Amino acid sequence: MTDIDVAIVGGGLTGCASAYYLAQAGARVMLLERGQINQGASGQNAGSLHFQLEHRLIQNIDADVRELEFYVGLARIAIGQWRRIDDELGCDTQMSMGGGLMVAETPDQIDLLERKSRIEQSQGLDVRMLDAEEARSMAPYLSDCVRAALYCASEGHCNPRLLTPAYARKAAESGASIVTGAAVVAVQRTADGWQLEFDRDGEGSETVRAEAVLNAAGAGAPAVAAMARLHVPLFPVALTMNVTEKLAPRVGHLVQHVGRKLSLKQAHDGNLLIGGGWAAVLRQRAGRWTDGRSPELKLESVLGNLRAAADVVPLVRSLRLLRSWTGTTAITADQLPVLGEIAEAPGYFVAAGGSGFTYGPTYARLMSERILMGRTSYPIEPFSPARFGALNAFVG
Amino acid sequence: MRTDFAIVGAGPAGMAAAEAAADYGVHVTLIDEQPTPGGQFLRQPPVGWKVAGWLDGAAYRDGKRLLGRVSADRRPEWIMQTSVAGIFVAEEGSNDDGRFTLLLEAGGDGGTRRLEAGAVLIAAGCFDLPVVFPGWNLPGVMATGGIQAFVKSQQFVPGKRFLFAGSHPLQLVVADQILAAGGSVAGVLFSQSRRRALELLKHPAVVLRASDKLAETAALLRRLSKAGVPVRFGQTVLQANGENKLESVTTVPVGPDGRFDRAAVEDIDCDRLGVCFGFLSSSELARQAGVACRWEPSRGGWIAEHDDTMASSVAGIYVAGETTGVAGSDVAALEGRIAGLAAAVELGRLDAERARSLMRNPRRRLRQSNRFAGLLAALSWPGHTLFDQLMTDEATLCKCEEVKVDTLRHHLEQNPGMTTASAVKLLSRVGMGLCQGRYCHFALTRLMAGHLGIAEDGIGGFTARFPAKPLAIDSLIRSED
Ligand SMILES: Cc1cc2nc3c(=O)[nH]c(=O)nc-3n(C[C@H](O)[C@H](O)[C@H](O)COP(=O)(O)OP(=O)(O)OC[C@H]3O[C@@H](n4cnc5c(N)ncnc54)[C@H](O)[C@@H]3O)c2cc1C
Ligand SMILES: Cc1cc2nc3c(=O)[nH]c(=O)nc-3n(C[C@H](O)[C@H](O)[C@H](O)COP(=O)(O)OP(=O)(O)OC[C@H]3O[C@@H](n4cnc5c(N)ncnc54)[C@H](O)[C@@H]3O)c2cc1C
Repeated sequence: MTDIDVAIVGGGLTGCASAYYLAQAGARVMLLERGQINQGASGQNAGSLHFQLEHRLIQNIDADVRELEFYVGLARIAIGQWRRIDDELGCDTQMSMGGGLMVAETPDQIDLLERKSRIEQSQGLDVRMLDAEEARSMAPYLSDCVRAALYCASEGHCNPRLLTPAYARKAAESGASIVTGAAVVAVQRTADGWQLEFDRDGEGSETVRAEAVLNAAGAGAPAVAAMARLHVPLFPVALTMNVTEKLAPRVGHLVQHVGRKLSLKQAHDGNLLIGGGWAAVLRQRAGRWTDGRSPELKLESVLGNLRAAADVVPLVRSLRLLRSWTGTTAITADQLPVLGEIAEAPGYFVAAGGSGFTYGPTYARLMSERILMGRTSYPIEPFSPARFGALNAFVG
Repeated sequence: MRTDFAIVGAGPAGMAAAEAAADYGVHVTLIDEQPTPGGQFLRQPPVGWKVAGWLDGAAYRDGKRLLGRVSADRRPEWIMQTSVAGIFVAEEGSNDDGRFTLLLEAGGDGGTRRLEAGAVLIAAGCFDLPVVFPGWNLPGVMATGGIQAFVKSQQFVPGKRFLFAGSHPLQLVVADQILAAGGSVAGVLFSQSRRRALELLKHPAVVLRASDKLAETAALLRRLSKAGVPVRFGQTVLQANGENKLESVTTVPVGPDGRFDRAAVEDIDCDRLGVCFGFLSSSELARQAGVACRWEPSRGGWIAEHDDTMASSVAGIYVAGETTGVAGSDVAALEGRIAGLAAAVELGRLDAERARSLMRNPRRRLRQSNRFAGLLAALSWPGHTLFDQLMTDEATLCKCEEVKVDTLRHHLEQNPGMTTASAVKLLSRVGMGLCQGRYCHFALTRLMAGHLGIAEDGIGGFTARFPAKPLAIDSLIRSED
C-alpha cells in the first residue's frame, strides 16, 4: 500500500511547480527538499526567459537542426504559459516580456544570427533581424559595436527570487505536502511503487511510500538516481553571475550576444543582472565533485563577463559592481533537458537540465500530465531519458 | 605586485603582525582603507592636521608606542587608502607563484590592482552593532563609535546636543570626549541595572586599560557629573522622533527582567543620538575566502575561528584582532604578534621551535587579557530581550532596501520552512543592498530566532560574496586591461 501518489525529490522550480500541477489535478503529493525551498539553481540563476536559441545551443548549428527545431517548439508552449503565470500564481513575480535582443558584432556573427533565425521562424517563433540602426533606435543603450540583432518580442525575464516560492505556496494551498530539511537518502522499488527514506535535519529518518517518484533534484539528480540504481547522465556546471547597483529604468530588454557569453537585463528592482555562462570552479573532495559550498568564484570570469557587458552596453562602466555569485546547474551532453520515465524503472520519472528557469513551469506541467495520464499535450519523446540508449539496461 | 605576507588592516593587530614578521626578514605589505595607520582605536587626524593632545591618556599609551614604531618602520610596504575587495585562493595544483590573489581598489578612483601573496592576515577590525528600533534610520541617529571617530580624528563635534543610549562602557568615554571637545550632552543611558552596570564599570574595560581601570572610570564619572550630565541606569531608547532629522528621543525604563515599562516613557530633546550596544566583527573578507566562523553574538556575531597560532581553517590565511571576536586593542596586538610569528614560520623565515618560545609570553598575556575581555563582553551585552522589544513592526530592518520588520514577519508566516538567513534574503532583498548585509544581518538573525523560536546559529549568515564593498566597474575593467 502506498501513502501518496507522487513523491517529488527537490524543492527547486521544477519540483515546486510539479507539486503544484500534480496537486491541483488531485494527486496526493509530497515534496522533499534537503535544505530550503529555492536554495539551488532556481534561486541563483539570471532569470532570463530564453526563447531564442541561446549561444550555448548553436555552437554546432548545422548538425543539430532537428533537435533545435524541436526545442523551439517547446519555447512556443512556454511562451503561452509565461503570459498567464502571474494570474495562475495569483501574485506578482516581476515577470516582464519586453522583448529580447541577441546582438552581433561581426559579419560571421550576423551570418550565424540569420541561420538561427531561419530555424526559429520555421517553428513559428516571433523573431526578426534588425540592422544596427534599427537595433539602436529600439535600444538606445546599445554601443556602436552592435552591427545587427535578432529580436524576439516574447523574451524577457522574471524574478527567480519570487517564482519558486510562489509555486511552493500554491502547491501547499492545493494540498501538496512540502517538507524542507528532508534529504532523501534511499529510494527502493516496492511491489506497488517506491519507498523513499529521508533524513529530517538530524532528527532521525522517515519513510514514505509512493506510486511514482519524480526526481527533480537538479544537479543532485544523478546522485538521487543512483539511490535507485539508475543512471541519469547529467553533469554539474558552475556558473557566475554579477549584479550592479540600482539605476533608473534604462534597459527594457533581455540582451544577449550570439558570439560571446553575455546575458544582461535590468531587474524590476533597478539593478543590472549580468551573466551569460561564465565558469566558476566546482569544489572537489577526494577527486569527486561536491555540492556543499557554492562554487568558487574566478576573478577572470568576473572580468570577462563585465567586459563583454560594457562593450555592448557602455553605461555598465558607470556603475558599481555590488556582488558576484556562483551557482550550480545541471546539463546533459547534448544540452537538452531530460524529461520522462525511465523505461527500465516504471514509475520513476526525471525532469532536469536545460534552461530550466525558462522551461521549468513547462517541464512541470508536461511531467504532471505524463505522470497522471500517461501522455502529454506536447510530445516530450525527444527529451526522453531513453535517448541515452542502454545506460539503464544493465542496471540490476 | 607580489609580497610574502599581505596584511589586511593596519590597526593594532595588523601593525603588531607586520612588526613581528618583518623582524624575521618577511616582506610584508599592509593594506588599509584609511589614509593613516592605527585602526579604529588609534584613529589619527588627517595628514597635515595638528590636533593638540591627540588621544591623551594612559589608555592609549601602548597603542601609540606601537603605532610610532611601526609607522616609522621602513621594512613593510604600506598601501593606504586602498580597500581589499576580495581574496582569491589559487586552485590547488595551479602553477601560480602566489597562493593568494588580493584584489585592491584604491580610493578616489585610483583603480584596481592585484597583489599576489604567499600568506595573508585578515585583521579587519569591527564596527558598531547596528540596532533596529523605530527611527534608527533618521539622520542624527548615529553609532557612538562613529561619533567618536569624528572627535578622535578631527576634534570635531558632529552635533549640538547628544544623548547616548546603550549598554557598552564606550558610551562614557565618548560622552567625555564630546564634553572635552566643547559639545553638550543630554545624558548617558545604560540599559543595565545600576548594580550590573557598576559591576561592569569597575572591571577592566576594553576601553580602559587594566592597570588604570578604576581610577579612569571614576574620573570619567566625576567629570560627567561635574558637567551636569545625567548617567542613568535601567533606561534605554524606545524610538527616535523627528520629521526629516532627529528632534527627540523617547526613552523607556528597563526592568530587572529586561522588560520595557511602556507606561513610563519620556521624551528627551536632542539632535544626536549615539547608540552603542556592542560591536560586530568585520569577518566578511574571511568568510568570502572560506574561513570557518562561528556565531557568538556578544563577541561580534560571526567571528573567525583559529588555532593557537592564529591560523584560520584555510591554510595560509591568518586572522587576528576583532575579526576573531571583539576583545579590545591589547588582545588585538597580542594576536597580531602571534600571527606575524606564525606567518614567518610558514614562509620559512623562522624556525618553528624558536617561534614557539617567542610566542610564550604573548600567549600568557593573551590568556589574561582574554579573561577580562570575556567578562566585559558578558556584562555589557544587553541580551536579546532588549533587541526583540526594540524591533517593532513599523521599524525598518534593512535600510538599503527599505525592508520593514512586519514585511519580514509576513514572509516568515507565508513561507513556512524558511529558516535560514540566506533564504529570507533571497525572498525579501534584505541584505542585498550597498552595505552587503553588514547592517542588517544581526537584526535579521534576531528577528528570525525570536519569530520562529529557533537557535540563532542555525540560521546562518548571508553567504559572503565578492566584492567586500561595491566596486567601480570602470576602474575594475580599466586597470585590468
Ligand atoms: C548562475 C546560473 C544562471 C542561470 N541562468 C538561467 C537563465 O537565465 N534562464 C534559464 O532558463 N535558466 C538559467 N539557469 C538554469 C536554471 O537555473 C536551472 O536549470 C533550473 O533552476 C533548474 O531547476 P531545478 O528545480 O531542476 O533544480 P534546482 O533549482 O537546483 O533544485 C534542485 C533541488 O533539489 C534539492 N536536492 C538535491 N538532492 C536532494 C536530495 N537527495 N534530497 C532532497 N532534495 C535534494 C536541492 O537542494 C535543490 O534545492 C541558470 C543556472 C545558473 C546556475
Ligand atoms: C567605533 C569604535 C571605537 C572603539 N573604541 C575603542 C577604545 O576606545 N578602546 C579600545 O580598546 N577599543 C576600542 N574599540 C575596539 C577597537 O576596534 C579595538 O580595540 C582595536 O582597534 C582592534 O584592533 P584591530 O587591529 O583588530 O582592528 P582595527 O583597529 O579596527 O583595524 C582594522 C583596520 O582594517 C581596515 N580594514 C577593514 N576592512 C578592510 C578592507 N576590506 N580593506 C582594507 N582595509 C580594511 C580598517 O580601515 C581598519 O583600519 C573600538 C571599536 C570601534 C568600532
